[in-house]
Amino acid sequence: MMEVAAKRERIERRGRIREIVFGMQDGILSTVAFLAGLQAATPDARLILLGGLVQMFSGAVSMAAGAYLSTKAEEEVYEKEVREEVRQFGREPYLAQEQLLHALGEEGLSRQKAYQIVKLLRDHEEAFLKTFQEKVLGLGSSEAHSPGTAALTMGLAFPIGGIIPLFPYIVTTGLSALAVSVGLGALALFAVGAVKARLTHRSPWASGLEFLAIAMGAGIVGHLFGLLLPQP
Amino acid sequence: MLDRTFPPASPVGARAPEFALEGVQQGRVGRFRLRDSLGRWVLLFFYPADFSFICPTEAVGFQRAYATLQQLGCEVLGISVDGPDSHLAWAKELGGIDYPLLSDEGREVCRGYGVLDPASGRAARATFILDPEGVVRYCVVSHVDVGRSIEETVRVLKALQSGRQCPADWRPES
Repeated sequence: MMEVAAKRERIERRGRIREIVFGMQDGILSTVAFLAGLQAATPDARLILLGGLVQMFSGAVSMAAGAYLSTKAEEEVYEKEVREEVRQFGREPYLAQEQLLHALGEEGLSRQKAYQIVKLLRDHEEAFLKTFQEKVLGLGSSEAHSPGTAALTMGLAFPIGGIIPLFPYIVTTGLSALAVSVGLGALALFAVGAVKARLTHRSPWASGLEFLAIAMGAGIVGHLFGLLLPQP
Repeated sequence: MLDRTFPPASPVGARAPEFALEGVQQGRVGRFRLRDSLGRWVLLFFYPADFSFICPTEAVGFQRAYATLQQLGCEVLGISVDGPDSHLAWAKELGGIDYPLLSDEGREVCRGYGVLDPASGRAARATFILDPEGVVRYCVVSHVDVGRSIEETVRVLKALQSGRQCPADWRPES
């Protein structure tokens, strides 16, 4: 039991790490590109810093709101499915039982064994419904995060990522700040890419380099766009 | 659902194909031939599978009606593609079934009666009533999701045995 609980906790943590990785990645990328553009458009170091801070926090709010809404929508769909299933189980239990029997059969269990399992489960409504959710509806309860947690995770991960390329503009100015910002952003993205590769079982080097190239590209595109803008 | 061209020839009026199958009755495994049941009316019901949560309502329903059917001079034979071991365990699970449950593992009988569902390789929900000479007098096949009415089957048997023309929803007492 302890082992199962630990495994479940690990899977749930992995889901949260995924959110952190994506939040940080977005924070780093958008801040690198934004600051590179702003640096090209204005020599005003204070303005760049202020702009960077505003971008970082507005980005965090927007990402948190996005995560909240999408997770809530997912949760609502999940709850609706579960509600319908509970209603069906109450009204016509044998239909739900038959569906679970079929699903277990598809997993290779003999009909007689599957029948015995369903028969055991049907006397324990909660256990039956959970098994039904997973085997028939394909809904895993461990995948269901609360919208609040998702928003908080995203809302924190984004500025944590964003502060990395912003930091050089606090301690220095001009092109050196830009160069260090893009460099730090690229390194941070390389690290995030490597972590993500571990989650998706890809090569950390390939994934890290891919992220690094994307960061450099974003910096260059942002900077070029800033150069096109009229100087104040 | 069934492997047939439309419209299928109605089996009503045709002689039911003879068969000999392994089966289970009251805990004993034996060989059952259709011809051994003739001389009496025969209610032949095909069902998709043992160990189901829908089929027991039918199997148990026919069990409840078994005494009545016997009094009407009618033998009941249940057929599915499950083996005799499965039938033994299933009958026990249902608290005992007095009529024979036959095993058409080769699917030949299901095919011969035109009630094999090719998608699942199992029997459809089909009921045949044969007269004592073995001629099909009634047949109904329903979708696998829809269980049969035992009461309706008994009503039809009585109507057939009455030997008269019976209007819709005819009842023996009417």
